[in-house]
Amino acid sequence: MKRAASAILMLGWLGCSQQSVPPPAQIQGTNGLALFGNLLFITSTETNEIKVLNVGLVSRDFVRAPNPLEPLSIPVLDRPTDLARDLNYDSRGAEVVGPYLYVRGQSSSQISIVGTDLTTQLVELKRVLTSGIVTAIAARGPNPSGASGASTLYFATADTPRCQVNPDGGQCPPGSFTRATLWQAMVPPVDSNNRLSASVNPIPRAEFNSTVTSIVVMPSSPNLAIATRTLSDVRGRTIIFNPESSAVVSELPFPSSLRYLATNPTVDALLGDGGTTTLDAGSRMYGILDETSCPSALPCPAIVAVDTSAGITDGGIPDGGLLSADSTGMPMVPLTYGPALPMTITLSRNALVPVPNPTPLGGTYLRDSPQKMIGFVPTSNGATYFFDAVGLLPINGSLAVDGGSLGTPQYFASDGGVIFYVEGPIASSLATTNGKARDENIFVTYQGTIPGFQNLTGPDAGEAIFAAPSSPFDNRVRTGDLVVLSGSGCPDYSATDAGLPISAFNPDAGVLFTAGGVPPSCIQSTFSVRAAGTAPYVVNGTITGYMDRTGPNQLFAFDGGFLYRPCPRNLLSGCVLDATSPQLSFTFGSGDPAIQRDFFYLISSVSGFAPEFVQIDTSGAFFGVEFRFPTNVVNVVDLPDGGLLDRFYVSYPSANAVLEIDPANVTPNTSALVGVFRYN
Amino acid sequence: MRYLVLACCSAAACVPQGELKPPPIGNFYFPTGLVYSDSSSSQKGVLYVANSNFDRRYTSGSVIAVPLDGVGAGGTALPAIGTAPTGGAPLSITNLGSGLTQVFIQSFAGEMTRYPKTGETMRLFVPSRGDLNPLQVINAVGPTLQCLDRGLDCTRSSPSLSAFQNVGDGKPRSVEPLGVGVGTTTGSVMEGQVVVTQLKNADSPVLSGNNLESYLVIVNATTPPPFTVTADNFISLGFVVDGNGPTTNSVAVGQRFAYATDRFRTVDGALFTLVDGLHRGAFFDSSLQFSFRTLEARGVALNADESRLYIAARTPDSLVVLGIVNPTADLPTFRVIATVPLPAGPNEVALIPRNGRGNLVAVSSTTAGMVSIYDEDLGVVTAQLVGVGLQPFGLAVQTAGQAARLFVSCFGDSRVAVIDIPDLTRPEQVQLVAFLGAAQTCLVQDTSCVGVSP
Repeated sequence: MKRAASAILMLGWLGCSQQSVPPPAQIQGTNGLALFGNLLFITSTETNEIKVLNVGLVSRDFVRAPNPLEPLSIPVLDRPTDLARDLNYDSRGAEVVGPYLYVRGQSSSQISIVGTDLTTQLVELKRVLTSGIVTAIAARGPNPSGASGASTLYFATADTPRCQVNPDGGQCPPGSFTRATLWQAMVPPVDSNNRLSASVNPIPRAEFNSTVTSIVVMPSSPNLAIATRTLSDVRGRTIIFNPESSAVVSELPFPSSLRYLATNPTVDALLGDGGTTTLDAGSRMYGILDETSCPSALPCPAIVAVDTSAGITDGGIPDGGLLSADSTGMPMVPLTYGPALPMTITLSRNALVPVPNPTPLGGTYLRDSPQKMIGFVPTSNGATYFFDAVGLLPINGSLAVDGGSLGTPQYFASDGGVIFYVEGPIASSLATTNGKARDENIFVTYQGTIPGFQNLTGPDAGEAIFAAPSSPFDNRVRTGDLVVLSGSGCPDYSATDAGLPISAFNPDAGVLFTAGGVPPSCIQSTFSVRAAGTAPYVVNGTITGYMDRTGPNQLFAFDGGFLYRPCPRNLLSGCVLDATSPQLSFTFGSGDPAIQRDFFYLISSVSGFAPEFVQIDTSGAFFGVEFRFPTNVVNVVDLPDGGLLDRFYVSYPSANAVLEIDPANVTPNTSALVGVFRYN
Repeated sequence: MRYLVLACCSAAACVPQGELKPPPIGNFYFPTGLVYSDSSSSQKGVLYVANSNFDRRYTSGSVIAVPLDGVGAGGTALPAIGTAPTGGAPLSITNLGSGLTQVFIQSFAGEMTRYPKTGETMRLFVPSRGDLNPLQVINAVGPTLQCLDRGLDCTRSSPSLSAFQNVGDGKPRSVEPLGVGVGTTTGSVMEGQVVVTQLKNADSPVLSGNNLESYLVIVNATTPPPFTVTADNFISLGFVVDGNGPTTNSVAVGQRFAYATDRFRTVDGALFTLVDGLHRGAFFDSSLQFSFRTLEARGVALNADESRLYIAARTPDSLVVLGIVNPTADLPTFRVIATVPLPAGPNEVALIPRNGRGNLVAVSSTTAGMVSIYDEDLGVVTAQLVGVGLQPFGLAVQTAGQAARLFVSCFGDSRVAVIDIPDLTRPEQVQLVAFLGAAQTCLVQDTSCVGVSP
């Protein structure tokens, strides 16, 4: 009896101390997420259904089916991949979520409308049939003021290309092709039986000459933001569009076409003088550049933002676009994560994310200070990054001293052997600017090969005119530099000062002239240009690339650009940085009189910057190896039931699961082991 | 007595060693690789199908040439490309016709490719994962198939890729060769070079499980008989260290490089390995798997100007589109430009070119039993066809004007699905037109399956 009582007590203790595990929902294809109140809607693409996780419960649980042993299934259209919420904005610019969830399927010409009321409506209420594959959806929820109880669904279909004009001689101008249609449909409130008995009839609102990739409802009703795709003969655009008048309000000055759009709610922001201000809802548009048509002037893949007030009526966007100013007042630095693709952007007000403490508390995190607005960016490298969506800056997750630094320079022979240091760059003069330094090695090479002028095709024997690419001249090549040849029968140019001196050059024509021609015996040659003359040292960074040239007793300064801007978070403006301070500067000493070709000085550069992210261990030792590809994020702050829950949820289709991440416990910029829980 | 059987077999040039139970010529059996060819003798073309004989029910596998004009003779014929009535149920055409020819290959055949790319006279290349891991080489002229020794048993005249297992340390050798591709760009260094992947690494000594090493095999497609493979034809992709190392699944061959997908590399991810055809022995890891963390890569295709590479990846199941810059430089640059979720188990990839427009990309999803069509212009999957037989795998493409036809080998039910895109400007109108051959259940039960749905 005593043993039985102990067992009961033990069971009771276990019941209280262990987090209950919800039944497996057997989700397959967690491609889409959407939050309505406490309910997190999750796609199960392979099984054509939606599952619902109630995150408002202390022990999170999937909403149960009538048979409570099973999670509820909401059957919808085939292969659901994207979810859209009914969104509207109240008078304070805060998001107000309406009653319906809209489901887009992969290569589907249908849309499912799903009720989101926990007690009565977690079913598909209506299936909307369309005329083509739906490529983007968005919806405006009922007017929060109560003037209208209806929602409005917007979606775009991909159309069979057709010409809008009479083709001239059978050729339709590329801009006159219709390839997509924007549709609008009124979705009335549910009836007394909590069903959507009225029909939902889409009506066409506009036609486009390219596919629509993303739609966002703007706070300024009835406007929409619409992004179209760049094709071989059509430039993709991002526009503010009035569906009531079917008119383009403005074109947003993005540098190229986008594949994802998001806009901001109203956010309180800080000013540099300590004051506060407001970033109005819809004042910014955030976008992910479409990697298929990235401009060469910007890094890509990347996230950029523009001011919606900066719209222009038609065309005229300068190269590089007109990006929003970050908190320094300068155009933002595009947010990049190496070659990884940003999958989506989720903006969340008052989001709690761990941020590194400044020194001397380096290595610890502030975990109790919600940020004004955080952007969550799941990427294809397995990580979910954060950025300060007010200041348009990445959060620096580096635990190193916040600021760039340079190491003590070293001196090497051409074979890599260390040599006693002879100035060279004077160590005490080395300087960099916080925010501009890269994580790289910088080489200062005597008579180094000039980048862009390597292994070019040489002229025939006897010729003294060398064709070179015109674009990288940039004052890189100078009179007195040396052309060195390689090829069959060519002389050995490896010695110091060996080569054909450049007597003149024409950058526009892309040609170099040398004092002597290619030796007669030298055939099928290639050539390179080596620095010589008064600036025989080539300064080159492994990340930055070519910086400039220098020489004995000269002051070297390379401006570079900001890798990131080290400003306080949540600051809309007023961060003062000296944009003219160089990325690298030093005074070059008198040099080593015994120096030889390809001897080099090495300067290590440390940025002190790492964009903050969260990812989990994928070695297989702790979680599955499948948690490698996040696609969507939902951040939960102050649940309506007053749970004061701060969590964010990340979908991993690769693992058929959703991760709950606790910002109070997770450790950023490492493979997290705690503060993570999975639902699938 | 055993010699008598072998002698008979040899004289009749019938089937390989063992019992005389040849694979059926009138049906497919666990089909895998497919090749389509236009033909002067069959208006609808000729389809070459590798039958893998996966359960070894028969003595060997086979390659069957099916003149499509004759399919359904005496009954329902295969509609000409793009002419099938819309909305109808797919035809079940069990009679493959009378003009079939067949050669015998080792069981467990993998992918199949042809060289040259056009014309009726070609060589077919089919690796098999069966005994001796052969690369079967078959001469084809329209619907006529012949092994290199002019016989019908191609295992005798085709090179083994594991011939060195009893020589020295047992390497180099291929273990379970699966994928095959060939360079077709005229004048390029890889023109006519056949590249073969392998699913498993070679150990040394053999069966020790030690010193695991992966290889690609590169041979000249026009090598005259006897078609031999030497150690020089093996390109080492490195050793397996701590369980990490490349195994390769499929390969696309460009002007200079072969792009071999990594079936597995490490838990960090896998995408593809780049093998230099100009500097033999040189290979590169793209390292893209660190920024695009798929766990496994399967089928691969390359577009005509080699600016795009398309890879069917798993975990997550997706189509990965890569941009290539300077494909013939010493080290081309790559970047991922799109990722598209796909139904479960994506496997093979085929390109459907369109005049003046972006390619369509077809992908078979073996687990889901689906074929997806990705429209490069739209940047979306425009069609996902369900009910494409059991375990769709190999893909072959026929184009005619503005229409295209896809042939899909259905490994699990031993049929070939025929899918039409009547108008390439409207790929969403893709239609499952027919199934060729009797379903496997019918084959196993030796019953007539005419009119019976599987």
